[in-house]
Amino acid sequence: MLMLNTMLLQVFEGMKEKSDSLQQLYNEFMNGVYGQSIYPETFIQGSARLSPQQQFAAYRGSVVGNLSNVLADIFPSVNRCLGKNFFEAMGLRYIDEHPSTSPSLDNYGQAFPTFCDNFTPLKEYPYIGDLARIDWAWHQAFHALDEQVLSLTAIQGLEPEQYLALSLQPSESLHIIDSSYPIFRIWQLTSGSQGHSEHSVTSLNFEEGAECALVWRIGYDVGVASISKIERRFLRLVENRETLGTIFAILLSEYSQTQVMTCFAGLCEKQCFVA
Amino acid sequence: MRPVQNALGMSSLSGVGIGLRATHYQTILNSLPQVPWFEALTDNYMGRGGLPLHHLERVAEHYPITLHGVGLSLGSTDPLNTTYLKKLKQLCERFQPVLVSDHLCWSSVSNVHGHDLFPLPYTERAAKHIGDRIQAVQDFLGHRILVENVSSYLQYKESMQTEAEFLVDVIERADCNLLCDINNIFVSASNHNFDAQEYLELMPVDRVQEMHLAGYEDQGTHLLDTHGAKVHAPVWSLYERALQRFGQVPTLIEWDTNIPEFSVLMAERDKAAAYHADVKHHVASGF
Repeated sequence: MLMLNTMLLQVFEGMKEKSDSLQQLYNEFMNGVYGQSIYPETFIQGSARLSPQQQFAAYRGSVVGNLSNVLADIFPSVNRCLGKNFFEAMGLRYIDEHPSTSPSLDNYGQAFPTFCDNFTPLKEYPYIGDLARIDWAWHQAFHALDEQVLSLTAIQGLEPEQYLALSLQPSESLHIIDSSYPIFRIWQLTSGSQGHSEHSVTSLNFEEGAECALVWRIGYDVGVASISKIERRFLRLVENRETLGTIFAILLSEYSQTQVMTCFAGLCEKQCFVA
Repeated sequence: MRPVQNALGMSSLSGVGIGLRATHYQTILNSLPQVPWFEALTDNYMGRGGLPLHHLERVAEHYPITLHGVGLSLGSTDPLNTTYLKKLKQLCERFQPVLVSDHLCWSSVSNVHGHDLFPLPYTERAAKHIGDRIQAVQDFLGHRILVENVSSYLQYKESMQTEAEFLVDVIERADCNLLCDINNIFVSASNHNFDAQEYLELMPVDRVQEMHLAGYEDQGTHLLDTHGAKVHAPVWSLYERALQRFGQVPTLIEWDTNIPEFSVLMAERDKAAAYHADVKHHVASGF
């Protein structure tokens, strides 16, 4: 890696001097692509049929259209919940405020949930940010590393000392979304996961309060589920790299042995842990 | 037939292939159609795991694969992205693509990415700049890559060369190969009022390792390269001329927007294969 960096740095330094004017041109171009006011006529020739502004608009339109499609693909639940027109208008604002910083389009949209939290027209819909967090987690899980699942049988086959000293490894695909709203039920109504539903999000009783959603990979599929307080607590302790012995000791001070063991077995069956 | 040797020296490529798209995975894997090869979009397989890589693995068990990317940003003034390059190399090692290609363009600057194929100004300085970067990529990967001519909708005031002259200049400097996109030549020729056949005549025969065919959209004031329609009649004519000049170079049917049933792509592929089979190679002069 060091050799690669050194080699590329040398190439880059060698090219730097001659690329300064190019960089100036590119920066001007990219600023315009992301919605800043520029003067295309200063660097674009124009033609008999199209002015420099019209020629540049072809690129601005292409970039914005592409990123807009990416947002719609990655945030399908938010798109369905808000409707195509609202989502597109919000997406345009997001795109101009959040230029892409990765060569991979799979990384675009990371800041979208927080953007939704702070988007003034959505202040009456404060759950949209968490809905976007589920969509983003789904997208991350879909592309996560393929892993070898750790089965409950394999864990139970360990000697008692090994068993209690074990630090479970959570799947790379696993995401826990804490919400102040019944977010899993909102996701069910907006994701199309239950086919056509006559119930709208507005029919939900928000007084029912907080819900915690789990997003993770099962084989090549992505699962989304509501998890209980004890499951959430268990998974957070696993994320903190606590041993199984410590996790049991903590949870047994709050829950019965049956509740703890049922929770543990259920999370193993869900394929939350990897070898 | 002009088969092309694997970039890694493992196998060869010939005939008319089809661009691999997610919507067709199941059709392809269930029916194993008579297609000599598939081209995968590199950037769709940059994830750490999951279904896309699994499907590509299964397709690669049955067909030769080429990798075609949009993310190298070869013309950029930023340092080459080492993370992207490493992932590209890993994909090459895993899937043994016969060819690896990207575009003669820039798409990022100051760590901001446009995810589009922006043209460069056609100057000697720009040619040297991108030529050096292509060489650095080839040195890292350990083999030549192909660069593709892009469709363009503007011309920079500072350009001093024609697009064809610039392309030849870059290929010579970088010692790379050419992915000659016939549709892109036609689109740019129409938008900038140059002769597409003269463009073809300037291309170095021995460097042309692959050709692309796709559909454009007529916007009235200009042609837009949408990859969302059947290949248009004048592009078929230009393809026929390209085959006569370059020989039976492996050719790809590309379709990226409003993607139809796989049978539509197969029909386009069969049409291209008929042109491909009929070609009489008139000119064999390289540069």
